[in-house]
Amino acid sequence: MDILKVERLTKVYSGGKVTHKALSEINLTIEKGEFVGVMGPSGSGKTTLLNMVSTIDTPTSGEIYINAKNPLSLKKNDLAVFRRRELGFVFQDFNLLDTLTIAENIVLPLTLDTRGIREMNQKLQKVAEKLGISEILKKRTYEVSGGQRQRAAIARAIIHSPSLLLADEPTGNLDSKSARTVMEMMESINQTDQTTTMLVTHDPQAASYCHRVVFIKDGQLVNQINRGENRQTFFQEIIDMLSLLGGNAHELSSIRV
Amino acid sequence: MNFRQFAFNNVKRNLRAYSAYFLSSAFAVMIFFSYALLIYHPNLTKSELGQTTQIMMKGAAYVIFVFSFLFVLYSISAFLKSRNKEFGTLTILGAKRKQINRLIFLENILIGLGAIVTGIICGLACAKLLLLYGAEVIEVKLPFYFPITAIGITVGVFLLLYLVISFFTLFFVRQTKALELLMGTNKPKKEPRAHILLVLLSIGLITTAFYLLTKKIDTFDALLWPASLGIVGIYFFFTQLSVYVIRLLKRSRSFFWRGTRMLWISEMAFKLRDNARMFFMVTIVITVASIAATFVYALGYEARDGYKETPLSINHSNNPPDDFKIYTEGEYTKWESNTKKIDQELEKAGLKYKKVVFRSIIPYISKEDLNILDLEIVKESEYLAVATLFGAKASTRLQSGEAIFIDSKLDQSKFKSLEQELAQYDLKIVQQIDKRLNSVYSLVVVSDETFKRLQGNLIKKKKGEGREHLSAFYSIPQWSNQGFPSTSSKEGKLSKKLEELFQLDRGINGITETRAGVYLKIQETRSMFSFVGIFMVAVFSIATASFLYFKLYTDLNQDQRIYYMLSKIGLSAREMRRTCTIQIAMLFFIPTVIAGIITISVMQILKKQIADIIEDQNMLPASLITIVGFLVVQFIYFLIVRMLYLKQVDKVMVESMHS
Repeated sequence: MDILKVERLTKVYSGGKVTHKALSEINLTIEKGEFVGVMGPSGSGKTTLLNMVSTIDTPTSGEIYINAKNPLSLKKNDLAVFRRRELGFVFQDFNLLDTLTIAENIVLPLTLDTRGIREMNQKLQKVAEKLGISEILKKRTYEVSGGQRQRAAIARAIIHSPSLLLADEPTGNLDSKSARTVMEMMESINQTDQTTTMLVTHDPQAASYCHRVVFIKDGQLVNQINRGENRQTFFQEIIDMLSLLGGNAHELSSIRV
Repeated sequence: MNFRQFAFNNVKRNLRAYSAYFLSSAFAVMIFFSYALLIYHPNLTKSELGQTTQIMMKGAAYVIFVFSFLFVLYSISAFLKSRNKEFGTLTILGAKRKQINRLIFLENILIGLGAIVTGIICGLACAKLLLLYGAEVIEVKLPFYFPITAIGITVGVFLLLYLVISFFTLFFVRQTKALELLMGTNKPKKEPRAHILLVLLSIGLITTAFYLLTKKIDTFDALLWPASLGIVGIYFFFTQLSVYVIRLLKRSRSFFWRGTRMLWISEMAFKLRDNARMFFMVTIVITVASIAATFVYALGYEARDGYKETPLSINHSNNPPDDFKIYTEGEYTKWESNTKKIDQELEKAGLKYKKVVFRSIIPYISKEDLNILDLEIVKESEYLAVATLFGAKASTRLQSGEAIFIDSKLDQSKFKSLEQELAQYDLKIVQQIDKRLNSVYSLVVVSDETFKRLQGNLIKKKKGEGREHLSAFYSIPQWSNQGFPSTSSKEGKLSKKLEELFQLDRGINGITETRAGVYLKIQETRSMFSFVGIFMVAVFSIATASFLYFKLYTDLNQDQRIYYMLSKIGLSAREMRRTCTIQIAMLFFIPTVIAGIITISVMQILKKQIADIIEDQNMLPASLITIVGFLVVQFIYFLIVRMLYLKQVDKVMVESMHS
């Protein structure tokens, strides 16, 4: 079953005299339980694609289906509810609220949906255990490390079991060790819960945890490679593909679109 | 680019960031200037009435000045905090502390000068309206003039203020670590904490203050204790108790983890702590203003009641020295000639009048003790003549020791002490009449024999324990007391003239008191209080509103970031509006509502105590009117600020990007 289906997606930005085609006729399908990476050099249109899928931007033409529903047909107020129930977000800079504890941050999507306390507590315990942050639930955001913060953010993104988890450079602000832990967590969540995941990243190391990586350049899908048995080989393949696309691997891994 | 140019360009090119600070400073200048413009008006300085007004207004000017100082100081500290990052960058680029200080100093002076000029120009623009309103209230003609004195004073005072504040601000940027400065406002704030002992102290202090109020208050000092305890209690209420209550709310998950509650309650904890001091100040100011306004309102009722219950228009009575003595007729010649002059004035005005003269004794002159009534004892035969003037029924002849009590302002709770007081003279009340003949004394009518006995007793008493009184009462049928006189009415004018006629005589030669004069004098005080009061309320509420807006504006960038993120994970615009509205509403209404609760409680408790000054009035409507007035003004500001704020946050919501 397809969780995400993007058909002939085109986005044209027209500011005054200059028009810029950020995406042109993109087709992409992600099946249930898949873990797909999206890579490409700066300005390739990765973020534009992600914003469309996140329903926070509208395409110029083309269709998007998430879990067989078309978010573009929804009214503005229903869109927020749609995002809250169907999508989970992980950001580069964590975006946790400093005024809340880790636990409160994690249950936020459920609270906004006014779910029952018992349900929230159960889910919180479960998800915290899965991400290994049960110990820090009562702490405030500034009292824990970056890796722990990102794990809390992942917990927040999956506590409501979204149809699609969208991760935007989740390792961009982390040291390599924390980055590895975070990616291992995402991989294990994907495996155990069958959480469909779309990961946008510059980091080949992070991308190597995916099942499949698609490459975008100048607003077009240019290639895709599937992961074989070995993650190390996959990593090498990704690096090769990036150099083929004309980017510099070293430069790419540190700069965000 | 030299350093001075750098400072200048900094301000010029970053006007948006400076505008909030600049506007609030200019506003403070404008208020002060408008005020000075009014009190230094040449007509006001010349006029007789202006004397007392000016003293009051000068007092108010000091309050306004102190408030402007605090206001500018608050604004600048918030403003500098928002620029920590900039100072950090400068430090890293190699700017010395001294240079940064100089930058801040120069900028401040620049903004200060701009604010002074803008404030004065805006003040001049509004001057005509203000003068019109002022003239209306204090009934002195106030034409427009070019206020050189006011401009001079405003410029001088604020230049000094900015110089002092510029030096003060150097203490605000004390963090020497560039890193700390660079982190600036992005550094997450520590969770506000409340100390349980201070929370208990706050509750204890407020309870004690209210308890002390229920006790007898007969001196000013007795009022000082509950007031100061209450003020300290309220301070801890805002800094400790409020934080503690929010922590309790957070503890209950079933309450806290529900919808947008989690968002606004957790935000409120920080906003309450950040604004605690301002809340405290505003609450105290509003409370004091409301209590004063309540008195002023009540005073208005009192004046009207007094006028209605006084049947006789004019009363010319002498007020001999404090030793008791029965005067011989000859000593009253001046008094008599004075009453004749009154007769002539009335005849000249073409008024018909009836005049009755009587002799009375004042047995005891109370000076401090508010619980003892000022009594004037009169003999029945003379009273009957007065009574016919206002159509009171002549009673049956009084027996020895019987008394009729005449006053309209006796609180029933005081009746016992009145009976005790009269018992000293072996008198017993047999009848009560609700009229007022004189604004100070309550009249006690006794039989002629009893009167003689009391006279005899008093002669034996020590000096200063009683005196004789001679009064002439005039009834003028043409002046009915159904409506109320104005200063320009015939009754008002003539009454005032008569009161001024013997102003210098006083004492044994008599002083004239008129019904309309008393009424108008109270009204005059009232309008003065109202004028100063309305001015202060306007100042404080506008200042609070602009200060709150300023604070919200400083945090706007951060709030926008948070709401953008929340919007992504599914917070709808409607939910965002609700969250923001609740928060802004709390910031605006918490101080007013708390002040309202305090005012009403205090007035209800004090009701009995102040029955002497303001008789038997229900204070509740007066308190409510004042508080509701404040709330209405705050509500208007709230709507404006909310609109401006939501407009900014709406921009970052995902919904607004679809279009």
